[in-house]
Amino acid sequence: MESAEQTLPVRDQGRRPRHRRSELDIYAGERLRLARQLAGCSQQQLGEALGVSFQAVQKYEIGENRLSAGKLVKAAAFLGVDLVFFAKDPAASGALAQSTGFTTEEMELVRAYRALRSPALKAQLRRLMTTLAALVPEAEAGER
Amino acid sequence: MAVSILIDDTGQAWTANDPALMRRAGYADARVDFVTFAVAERGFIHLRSIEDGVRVTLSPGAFSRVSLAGALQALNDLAPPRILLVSRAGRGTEAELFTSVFAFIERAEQLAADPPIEIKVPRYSVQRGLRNLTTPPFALVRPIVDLWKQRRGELGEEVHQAVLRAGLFHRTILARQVAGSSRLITEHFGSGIKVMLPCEHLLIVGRELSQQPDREYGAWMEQAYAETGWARRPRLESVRALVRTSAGATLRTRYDRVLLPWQQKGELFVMCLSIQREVPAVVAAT
Repeated sequence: MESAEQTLPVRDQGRRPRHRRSELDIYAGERLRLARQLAGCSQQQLGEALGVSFQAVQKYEIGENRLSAGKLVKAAAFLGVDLVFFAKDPAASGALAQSTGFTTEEMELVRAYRALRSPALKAQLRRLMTTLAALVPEAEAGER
Repeated sequence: MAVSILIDDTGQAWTANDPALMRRAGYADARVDFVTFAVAERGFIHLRSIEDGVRVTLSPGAFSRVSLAGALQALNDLAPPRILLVSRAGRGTEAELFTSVFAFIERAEQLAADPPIEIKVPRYSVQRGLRNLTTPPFALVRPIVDLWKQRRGELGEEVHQAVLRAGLFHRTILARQVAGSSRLITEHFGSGIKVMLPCEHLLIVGRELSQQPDREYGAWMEQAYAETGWARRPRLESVRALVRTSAGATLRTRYDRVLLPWQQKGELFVMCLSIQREVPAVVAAT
């Protein structure tokens, strides 16, 4: 608790505490970005709802600035998520808590890759993928 | 050193005995201590460290969601293992214990003075620590999670029996992963999961899990199952979702789900044990 107390931004005799970018701010920013993406809304639109610029929204989302409680509630109401969306469950941190971010197809690819035993074959596959990825603009143009 | 802070009506945290806050709150009667006054009369929220956690004192119906958001930020910072919620209403005092900030906020949102936030995003989940499984809402699920540990994720008749004994068969979904692919085929879809019409629970068996009347919801759900199979570890999530039914209605649903990856004869299965938090309600019909 002592260390937590040191980082807690408490007003001291009415002075606003100096802001330090913390893991918590980064977490809150990530949740804000996720809520915005789920709501299908741009940083500009969210900024207008909060009465700030889109650059300010960017700063909230990367944890550079901390969202005030009032703006957090405004953002939650505008985006249509309840406050629990921003609650951090420390026990859920770590690999288990994080979504892999892979789509089902991407996971299928990685699983197939891992199933290969031959390091040489794996290397060939990586080269093939890299080459294909480099050709993507041409390939997409060909599809059109 | 003990933490004792007050969250004011703008969500700002102050040290509990700050003279500037006392002036601002209009505290004049020294017969009542300031914290009691601020909580009861001004709708402030008081946070104080106690052994192994934080005690949060509030007055139901007197505090705003903004103050609660301030408390949420402070609690996220403090990350207490336990939160003792003390609600003071009139002369009565009630106490509730929570093991996560999530569970506390979920409860406290119901006590705020302002109306609940209208959920607009179609669906979202919040991942929660597995230690929450030791709390009362998950009592029915716990024996199955214990069995998962004992059997090291090996699926068998014993698991089926345990699900039946727990009375969770109608709230269970079981999907099998097709070998060499990420496709998930539905093996069982509990009839108590009210996002489909009764006959549709049977029709989806043998089909891909995502092939539900609401394809977007189905695909989103399948993604979480696939990730669980991928990670080979249990996962606990709280879900809010709007689900379209084949009858054209949109249901609002709120539930917790425990996802367990199982294996049997080299095949991977993902089981979902769903704990309903709110009876699905129709929010729109066409």
